Amino acid sequence: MAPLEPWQKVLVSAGFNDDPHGNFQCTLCHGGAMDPDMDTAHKGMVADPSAAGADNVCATCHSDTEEHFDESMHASLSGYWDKLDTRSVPENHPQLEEMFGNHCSNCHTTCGDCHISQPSSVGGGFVNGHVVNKTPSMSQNCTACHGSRVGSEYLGKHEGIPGDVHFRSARMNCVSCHEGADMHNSTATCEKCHTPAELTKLDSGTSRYDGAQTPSCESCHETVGGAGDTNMQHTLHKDTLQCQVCHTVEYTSCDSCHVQVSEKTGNPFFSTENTYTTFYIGRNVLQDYHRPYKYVVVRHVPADPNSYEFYGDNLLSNFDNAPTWSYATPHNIQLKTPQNSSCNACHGNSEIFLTADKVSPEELNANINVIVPEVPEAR
Amino acid sequence: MLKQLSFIILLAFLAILIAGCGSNQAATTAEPASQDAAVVEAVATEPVSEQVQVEQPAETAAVLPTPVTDYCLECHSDKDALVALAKPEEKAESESSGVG
Repeated sequence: MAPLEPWQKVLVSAGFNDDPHGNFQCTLCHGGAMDPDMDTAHKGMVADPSAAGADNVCATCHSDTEEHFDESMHASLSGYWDKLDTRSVPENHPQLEEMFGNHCSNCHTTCGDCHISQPSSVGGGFVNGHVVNKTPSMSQNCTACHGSRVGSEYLGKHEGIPGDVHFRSARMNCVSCHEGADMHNSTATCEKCHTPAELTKLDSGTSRYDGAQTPSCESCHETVGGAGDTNMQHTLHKDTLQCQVCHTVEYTSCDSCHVQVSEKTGNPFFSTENTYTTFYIGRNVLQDYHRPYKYVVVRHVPADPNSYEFYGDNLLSNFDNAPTWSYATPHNIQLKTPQNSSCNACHGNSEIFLTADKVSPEELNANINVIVPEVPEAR
Repeated sequence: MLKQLSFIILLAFLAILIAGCGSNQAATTAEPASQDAAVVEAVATEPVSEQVQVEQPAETAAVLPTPVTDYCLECHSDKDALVALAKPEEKAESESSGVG
């Protein structure tokens, strides 16, 4: 996706006149002054008035949507902190917070970052001439941030690896499965199963794999593994195997990301040692009511004990508290895969299981609960 | 005789006067009840007519509103103006390597 020209980023289209938001004077949301002089007009102007918190102007009208958005993972980036917390001690948090501010917080998402502009991490700018898009653009919003793994897998950008069947055949975009209520951290999805009394006790969690699977394959594929399902593999493996074990193909893994601030420019930068495609089945460390599976697909994350050494020594002193081969949900679903071609495509095939020999020696402890000690026997 | 003539003339004048008032009432209403309503109406509408006379300048203003210039949109919907005003972005050298 080519970056926008400076004038493109701020050009308001004629279509904005038909947008209900176009009925308001610009200064109502953005501040500044209604003045023909640019500098005067821009004084005190807020470019993105949809920032989270009390100053979010969107909440003036969209209070229901905004109510819990601040706690959403897009706004709070709690998923990152979940892992940083797990791998560190509180004494190291000040340095990790500095690191986070330089390298990670740029992905913090406001209402405008999804519904009006491209995210700032890819240069910002209006997606559609300031028209407020109810459905964010898959290419200019979602995969602008979620590009290197999810976007590439879903759209089939890896050579020789097909894109996700939901895109190739059904032309489904991200929002087809990842509904707005989930992005906004609304309880609308939870209300489908839980009573109002139960809702008060629900914790939205800090990781995308906390709580109910949203989305879940079964929400559309309702008959899988049920009484009317004629596919015996579904009946046999329903709660033992994550759907992706049989229905994904090779996906991205990465090694050793390090971050620092440039002495030359003062800008933060990163370096990732290696990126490759793999397919491994590991044991499920997140086993619970919502994810009862014994086996799941896992991808290698680029966490390294020295990832943040620029900011201090041994900042991830509890590195082994979280695996580096992580529960994954690759976005390259296929109906037919090498794994589901026959029983013994998996059974007795150690090549596709995460056995100890495939894990770096320094990471064995971290992945002790993921490594498959004994491959299921051949049939 | 003169007295009688004067009295007749006075009566005739009064008759003419009374006839003129009656015709005015007839113009506004035919029945006593509606006549009352008309009277009420006439009384009620008098202030309105005054108000209408007062409001006419405002109504004229509403028909021809004073245009308000939206300076923000005037600039931000003009591509040529934005191209002319845009400051060239200095692309910072990125030292990042690998997939982010």
